[in-house]
Amino acid sequence: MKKILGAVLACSIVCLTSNANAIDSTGGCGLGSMAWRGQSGIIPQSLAMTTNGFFGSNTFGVTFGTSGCDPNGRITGGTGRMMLAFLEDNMEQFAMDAAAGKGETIETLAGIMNVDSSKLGKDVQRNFAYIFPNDDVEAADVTLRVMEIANA
Amino acid sequence: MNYAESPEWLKLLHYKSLTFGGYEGLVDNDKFYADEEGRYNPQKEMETEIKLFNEGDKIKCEFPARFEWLKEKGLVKGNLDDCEEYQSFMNDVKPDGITVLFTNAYMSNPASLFGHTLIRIDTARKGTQMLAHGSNFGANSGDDSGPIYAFKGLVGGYYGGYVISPYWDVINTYNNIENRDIWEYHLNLTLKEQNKFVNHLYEMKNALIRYFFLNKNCSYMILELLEAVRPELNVTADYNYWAIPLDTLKTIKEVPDLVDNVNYRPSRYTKIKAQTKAMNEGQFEAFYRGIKEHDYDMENLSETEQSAVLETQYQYYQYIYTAGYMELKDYRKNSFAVLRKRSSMPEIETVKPQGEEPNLSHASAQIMFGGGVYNHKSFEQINLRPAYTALTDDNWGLIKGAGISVLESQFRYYNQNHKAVLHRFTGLKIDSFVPADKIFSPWSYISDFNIHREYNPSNNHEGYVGEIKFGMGKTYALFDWFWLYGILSAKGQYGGFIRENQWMGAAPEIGVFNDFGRFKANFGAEKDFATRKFGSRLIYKAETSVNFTKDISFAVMYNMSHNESGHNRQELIGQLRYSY
Repeated sequence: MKKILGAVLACSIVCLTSNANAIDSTGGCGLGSMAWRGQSGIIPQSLAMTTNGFFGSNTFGVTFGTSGCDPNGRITGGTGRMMLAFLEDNMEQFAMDAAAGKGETIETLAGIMNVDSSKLGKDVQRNFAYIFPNDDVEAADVTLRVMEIANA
Repeated sequence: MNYAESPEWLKLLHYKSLTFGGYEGLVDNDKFYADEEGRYNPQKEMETEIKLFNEGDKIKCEFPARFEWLKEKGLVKGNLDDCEEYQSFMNDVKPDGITVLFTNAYMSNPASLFGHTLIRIDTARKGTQMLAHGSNFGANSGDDSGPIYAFKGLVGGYYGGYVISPYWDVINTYNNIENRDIWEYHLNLTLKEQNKFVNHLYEMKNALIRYFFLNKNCSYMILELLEAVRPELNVTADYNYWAIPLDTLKTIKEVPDLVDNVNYRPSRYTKIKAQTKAMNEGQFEAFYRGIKEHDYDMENLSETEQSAVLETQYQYYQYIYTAGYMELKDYRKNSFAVLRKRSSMPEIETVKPQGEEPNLSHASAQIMFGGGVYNHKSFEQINLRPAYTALTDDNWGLIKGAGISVLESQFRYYNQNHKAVLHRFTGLKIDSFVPADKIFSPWSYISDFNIHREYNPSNNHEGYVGEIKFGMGKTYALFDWFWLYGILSAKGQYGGFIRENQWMGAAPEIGVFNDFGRFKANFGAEKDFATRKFGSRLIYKAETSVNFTKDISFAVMYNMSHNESGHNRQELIGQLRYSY
């Protein structure tokens, strides 16, 4: 219990501002996690085509918006903040890796938390139903549960 | 030694020597220079910087690469420890190497066949390179899109600049949303070069550069960065007029020992394709039933087999949700159903798609020497194609079934009447045959904008016609090497010598594309239903090629058209092709 509290504290500053509304209103911290934020909009292929011009150009703003919850587009902050930023943007891939018990997102999270990645993989797979209790789970809750499991 | 005239200084500030003497900096805005005349005066810029840096002015924090270089030369003293923003940047990024990223084409979009390049600052953070940062040079186009965007981009109507984002964002954008493979070319830089690279990227954060799609684009700028870091390189020289991302990648790869590792990161689409292909019959049947009926029961399969099916099903749901074909509610319900089941199964070895290194593809410019017969008249001909590839060219490292020709000229010399003509000029010709299957059903399309010579039997004249053709259809791969396609096109011609100048028509076409590796063939039959007799015709075409190496091939082409007015046109051409 003490550990859970610790995790909550570590993440509290971020979590306070990270309810779904706050995330949506900023336009998101990346595009990968749209499905998890309840945004209905999707970049259609046609739009993606115009953002990627004939000779491989790219517009900023669309393809590279304010990313990673940081206005500078940088990965920053301590463990809790990085975990949340990472999971918000990579929840889809993490859900898959968690179900499979291994994968790049698990290795990444293990690196952020400084824990063993193959153990983390097995642990999150075994606790899949706990981490993802329902279809509308939020990144902040997943972050807390993963930290709890990793530190258990 | 005059340091201001040294290649190190000139390249670090991206000075270009002007035709009539003097210099101009490539970067357009003042923030990049410490002196107000800095853009045109490397000497004065250096003197001002030395003065300010030695006074401890905070402007040094904006130019860490220059500061370090001047310090190395003994011209300035001090350090960057008091530069808070710079230090926090370095602390976030934790640089540990530089990687050039190449993203290949979108499915069904041969225009993106040219690719795109960006930079990754590798990270020393624990974990994976997902925690690295991507740095992309792009045009700030605001809300413009489509033709306005294309036009302004061509004429330099935008400013380009660098944007940084977590590498996971780059992965999501390209691999998962746009379904493009990413190739990672890790650079073999010394620690000093690596630091200079990162410092220089930091300097470039406020730089605005007039953006031209053709030459001052994302890929050209990467070459500029490389030269700034290693001034003895001379990689920008070949790109005065246009810089195709794939070409610049080849240039980088060809510098001895510059690239020490190549890594492939397949897109979601590529993964789904490879995984479904690796399935046995029972697995595929279960996979298909799952995605169509949302029934994930497959007791007849082993747990390992089931795991593979479930993982692919999940990725398929991600794919169709991202493509907009599935509601969020359904997506979540089904994807979680699949994952919950998957989480109770054992670990499996995931199928890894094998990519073809794009830098090994054939060169993009091509010259073709040919000869042939046109209605019993013999001729020799030369084609010049600045870019990019044809359906029957070697396609290793490129998209199969895709051809794109830009600004191709075909000159002919007829032997009997000693007449030399420009027989055909192709502005843009695209063939994009993408096989549809049970899972994916992409459109195939063709387009052709050209001017060529035609013979008009009704008035016995030959002359130039402008032609526009655009069509869509479907392709099916009966075997890997045998594709069948059907395309319906709208087609039109305009020419002064045609009766009433023009015609429009519909042109259904069926054809076959064979790819046996070195041997390729394309056969097609097209019927043009036109508003004029001149345009109403039946066209047969056949093209076969033998690719001796990726850059040298021999092709034979036969074209026959039967005009409704009774005139037949037959053409047989043999052609030696050389890509360079």
